[in-house]
Amino acid sequence: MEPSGLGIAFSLLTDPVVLGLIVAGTVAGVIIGALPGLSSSMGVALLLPFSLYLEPVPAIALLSALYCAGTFGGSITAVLINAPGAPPAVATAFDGYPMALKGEAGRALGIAAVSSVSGGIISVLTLLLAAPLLARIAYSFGPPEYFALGVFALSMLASIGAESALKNLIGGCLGLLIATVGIDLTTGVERFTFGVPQLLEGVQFIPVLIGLFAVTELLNQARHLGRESVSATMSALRLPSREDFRRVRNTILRSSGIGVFVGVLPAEGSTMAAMIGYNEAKRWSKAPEEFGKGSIEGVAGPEAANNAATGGAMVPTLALGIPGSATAAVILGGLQVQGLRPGPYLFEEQPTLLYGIFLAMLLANILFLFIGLFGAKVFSRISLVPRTFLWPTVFALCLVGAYGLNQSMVDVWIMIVSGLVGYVLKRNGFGPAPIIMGIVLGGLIETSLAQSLIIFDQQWSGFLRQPIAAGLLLAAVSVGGRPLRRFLGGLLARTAGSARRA
Amino acid sequence: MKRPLHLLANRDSLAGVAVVGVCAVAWRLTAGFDEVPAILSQNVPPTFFPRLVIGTAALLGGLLVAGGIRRCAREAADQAAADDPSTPIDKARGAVLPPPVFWATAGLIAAAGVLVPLVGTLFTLGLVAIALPLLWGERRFRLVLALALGLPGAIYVVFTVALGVRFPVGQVWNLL
Amino acid sequence: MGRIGAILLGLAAPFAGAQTGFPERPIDIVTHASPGGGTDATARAVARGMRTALDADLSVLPRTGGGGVVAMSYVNSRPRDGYTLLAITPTHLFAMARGQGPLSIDDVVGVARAADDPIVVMVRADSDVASLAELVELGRERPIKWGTTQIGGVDHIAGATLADRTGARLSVVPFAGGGEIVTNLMGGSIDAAGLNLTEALDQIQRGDFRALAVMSEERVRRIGDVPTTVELGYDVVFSTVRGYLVLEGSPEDRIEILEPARLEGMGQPAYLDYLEGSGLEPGSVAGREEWDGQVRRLYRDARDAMIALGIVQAE
Repeated sequence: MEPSGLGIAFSLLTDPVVLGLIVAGTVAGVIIGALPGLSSSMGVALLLPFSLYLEPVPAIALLSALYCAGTFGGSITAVLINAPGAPPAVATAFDGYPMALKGEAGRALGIAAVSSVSGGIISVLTLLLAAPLLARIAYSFGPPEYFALGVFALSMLASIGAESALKNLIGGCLGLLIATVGIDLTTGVERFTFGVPQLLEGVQFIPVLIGLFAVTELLNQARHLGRESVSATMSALRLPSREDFRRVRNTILRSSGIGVFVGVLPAEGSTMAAMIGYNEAKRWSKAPEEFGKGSIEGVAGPEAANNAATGGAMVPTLALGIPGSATAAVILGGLQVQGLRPGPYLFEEQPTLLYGIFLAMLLANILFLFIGLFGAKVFSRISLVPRTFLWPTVFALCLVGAYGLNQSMVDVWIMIVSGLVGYVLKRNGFGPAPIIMGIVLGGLIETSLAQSLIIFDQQWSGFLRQPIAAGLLLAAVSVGGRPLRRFLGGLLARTAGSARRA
Repeated sequence: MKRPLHLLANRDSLAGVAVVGVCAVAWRLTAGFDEVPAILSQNVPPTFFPRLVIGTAALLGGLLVAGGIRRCAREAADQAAADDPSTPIDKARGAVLPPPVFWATAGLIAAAGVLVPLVGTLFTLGLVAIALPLLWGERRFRLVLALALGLPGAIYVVFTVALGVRFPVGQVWNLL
Repeated sequence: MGRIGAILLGLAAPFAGAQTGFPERPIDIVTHASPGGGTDATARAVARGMRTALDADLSVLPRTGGGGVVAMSYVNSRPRDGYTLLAITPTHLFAMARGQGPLSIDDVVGVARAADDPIVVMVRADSDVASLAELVELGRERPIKWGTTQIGGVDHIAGATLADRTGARLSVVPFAGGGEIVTNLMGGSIDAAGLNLTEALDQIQRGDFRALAVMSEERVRRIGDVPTTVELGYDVVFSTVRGYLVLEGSPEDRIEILEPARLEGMGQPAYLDYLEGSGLEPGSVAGREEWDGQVRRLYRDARDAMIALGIVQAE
């Protein structure tokens, strides 16, 4: 609040050690985020003990730099091998991978880097100006609102991808069902565990993600070995042009706004933000038919949103003491280890530290622009590797990534089965992204629905009396109900037609 | 008239039937969940949400079946109008069986899962790094060998040495 | 690149370090609550203290859900070698009493108690309810929306027992942790909650929440003007006792290393500051003998409370 806090924080950041740490955190974040199975939350958790030896601001600067960069890292593999490093990058694969197949890996990664940086910077600036105000939004979100938001994000499935909306929604249901495996959070009853003790904690989404995306794509490659690959040309290294950036400017701004807002809510923000960001980019685009075939707006939309959400997620973490994401949860742990008590009063009591954190995140994003663009150049070379060497390597990373998460063979089998089943599903028009969305959002949707029904005394009509929840549900019905309406409309037209013919 | 069955024989309708079938099995499984006292479930029993999702999926599956039939019927009607009964209804969708290399790759993936606990992760990865490129027609044997040695080595350095992830060593080695 | 090397070394150090004796790798403290609540905060504060006492790394692993059953299942899946500690609250004992999860009371050994955190009944400051009697009155008119951390947990049973004794009705809304209850009470989704003192001390002192009663026999120093349930004539005493267990069958010599390390960790200024800062009494730290006995006593009390509510059948 007082400018002196800002000044002190600024002087902390001119320290070369702090700068070095931010660079190190950014580089480590990009690498960790890119490896399937190593997520930014894991990276932050691994760095936590090390950060204990630092002062609070450098420590948190290091962790949050890794957090920002990790979210971008996930999109590198999404673009290059159709295997998102983490769920927030799932939507990036929709258009990123087709671009890489067209031999535009560098262009896709460049767009992803610039969008990520822009989203990150916009979100940090919003934080600097309005964090305490934004924290109030979180208070106005109770269980009914979270349920409605979750349903709204799922309804986006009706309009993504080239395949049928119905099939996407069915895929989403499958994901929701997979999310119920394990011990029921409210009653403690085992569900769909089949007596396997490792399933008590539920199905981890990382092995499923790796299987559905990477293993399925590996099988797809095996099937089409005869076809010439176009990616093996040096043009794959070309970065996006000035004109490209001009075209995605509005998409970035819009998605950043979505990302900040969704990220502020303490829920799985980044994934939801990316999905909504993708969908809005498509809805506002002048060329929506290019989506799913390699549209740069389709890369910019989710990337700006998911990185904006990382900044947004820090709001509830700092202002309410409730982590806005899995990674923010670990950072919250880091803050507590540093002897700080995040909560509604932190903004009044320790503005210096807060501004330090925000400035560190800002700086991380700026440095990250250079590292990201350089990285795009370096990583796009991966698309030049012959696939007879690339895919065995990808499979090795899949196996190690699935195993390394919990050091459990059950996860490896989940990965393998997801891959094989996922291939059959994909051949029949059921894409992987809706299933992942269902798994990621399942816990939130089920818990908030149960809470809402208890609060409403089992009356579903209670949702209609909450303006925010009702509005979101209405939007969800209008997006998700589209296939149903089209179906009914077609049926009516057909009945009328056959009546005429008769 | 075999017409109704014929109309069902399209990709969407068959997928829809499969979805409804899976839903039926899942619903049966929910019947096996433990009962909880009302004071603990607060009238939201553990079966509530799964059944809500299963019901929704079954409904969507039903729509998929109906949509497929409708499209088929329309195509059939169009063909009848064009008086060309020889064209197959589900044209260009006639399933082409994947090539043998696809099945071999799928088998290799499953085999890797079986091999890991037996011969260990790194050894399995070495085998995969030899088998997969050869299967896919790679004939630069020196490069294949380099990958088979380099890949497990790099993974050992990054994951085990730097990150402390310990991989299963394999039971077979204990027997030797 | 040197810095990256330094970080990688930093990562490797805990794994490569001290090769002799126990502990030679990091010890996990498994909790059942999401980050931000009292259990999580206590576990982290203890881990900080023990890190110095044991010269080993400790990490806090949240395994949320199912009234502690998920955490208990996880601990049960780990080897019984002293490297996994389970942070418990009476909630776990309630789950055991209901026969849920893989562990029974005979499977656990108490290591040390960390804190004794009484339950405080509270409402939002602008609520019409000004006293516990008024809350009970409201509950006789319509069900009180009562936020709890876990269904079947100590704050649920506390509320249910209060309702049972007074004829009030309760709609129990489960959340994943104390932090979420605070936001929801603030946002007005629920009427009241039985939060731990540590979880809501700030909000009480700042006047956002109104504390109606402390569910204990004696008043709490930090909120000395808040009456106790016993004073008000309700014999409903519940407290979240937090402590640490290992599984039966863990090597005795390792427990003997862990217990003093725990106690030493909790005797350090950092931990005492944490207790003071969160409003707890320093006397809440206790050793193995006292704690193990208390665990068994609490288990019996939990069973009795659940039998009284008709959740568990008496044998």
